[in-house]
Amino acid sequence: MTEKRILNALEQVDERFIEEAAPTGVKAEKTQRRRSYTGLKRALLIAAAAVATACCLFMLNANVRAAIRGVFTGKDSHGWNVISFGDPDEKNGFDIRKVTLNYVPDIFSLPEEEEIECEYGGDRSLYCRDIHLVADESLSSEDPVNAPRVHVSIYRTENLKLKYDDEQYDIFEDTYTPTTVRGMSCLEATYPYDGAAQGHLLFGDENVTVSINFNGISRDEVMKIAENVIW
Amino acid sequence: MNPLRKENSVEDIQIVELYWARSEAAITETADKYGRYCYSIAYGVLHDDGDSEECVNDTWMSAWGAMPDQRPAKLSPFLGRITRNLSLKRWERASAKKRGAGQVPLALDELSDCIPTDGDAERIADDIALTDALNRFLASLDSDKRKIFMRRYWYFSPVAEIAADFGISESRVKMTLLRCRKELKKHLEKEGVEP
Repeated sequence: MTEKRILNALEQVDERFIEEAAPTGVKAEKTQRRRSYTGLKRALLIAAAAVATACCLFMLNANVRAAIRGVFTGKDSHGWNVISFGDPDEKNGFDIRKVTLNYVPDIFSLPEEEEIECEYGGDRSLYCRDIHLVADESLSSEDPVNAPRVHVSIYRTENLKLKYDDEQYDIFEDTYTPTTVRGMSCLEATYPYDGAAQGHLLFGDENVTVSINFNGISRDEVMKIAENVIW
Repeated sequence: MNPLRKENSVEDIQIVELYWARSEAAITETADKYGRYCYSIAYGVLHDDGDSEECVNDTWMSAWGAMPDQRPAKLSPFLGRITRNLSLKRWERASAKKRGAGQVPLALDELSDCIPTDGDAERIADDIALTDALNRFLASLDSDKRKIFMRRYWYFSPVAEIAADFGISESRVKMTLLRCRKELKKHLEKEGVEP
């Protein structure tokens, strides 16, 4: 098959599709909608940070960190290479308060240095538990000091709701197609089947890949919210 | 209202009647109503004012030659196809001489994502089968995705322009397009279409 043949075959597609897509001025409406969602998202992030900060004030824990660097520590029983947050010898039950992602693709519309607080461990750390980093085979896990490090940000999904069109939805992570930004590619994304509740986000560069599973909502709602509100 | 077309001007059916009556007013009315629309299609391919103007003028000549016998119900897709076809041919000639820019080379490169990998070597699909498959694929997309796909690969609109018109980031446009191409590839493989 040739690309040119596809291009030529498109010429004879249904007229409705041709007319529907004719260039027209829709920018004002979409921009206005996007602008309002950006403000909503930012307000939610600020609220989330305020809530997490309040939690920090009330929880005295020697393992609390202001920022966590993930360290590649080897493979788990499922074959995933695992990034451990905090000291390598304190993987289990470790309480992560804040993790930053240095390489956030611009599709997430998140400033590079922005930090999102989350919790790790116990029933309230479901999201964090699903994060693994698939690293290059040549990377060594035997030297934690020199092992590759990556900062990973985690959205606090539990108890954080997003109001959209007067409905409330759980926040989730999502992406759409591979794209390369600052060396980080979104490698693939799968979506929940209609009515199902789980999804998968996978992105990374040639050396490390971040995989995040999420419990979301229906596919159409995933797409609608993620496209128009979250990012 | 589509700013590229004058919605309140002569209806298409009246313009078509002018062609059938061999009235030169047909060209005037067509140019007045669809001049900018056809120009935008030509420019998306050719990225050159002079060549685009010529293509638009050639479109009117082709339309004059096509009507009668044809009697299109709507002129925009009818004229758009002519312009697109003429523009692509002109682009091919220009690229053979290593001239011209436009979005076509990019679009062709992008569409390589849609090439099925496992084709039965003995399968032969003609243009009609491919177009049918494309129609079914486009019908399966939601409206925005379909519009973005068509803007890129039918109208050859630059990504930046599509992003501006839809009020979204260029990254999102690219992601949408790439996802569509992957879905198209799966669709073509599933339908066993291999031109």
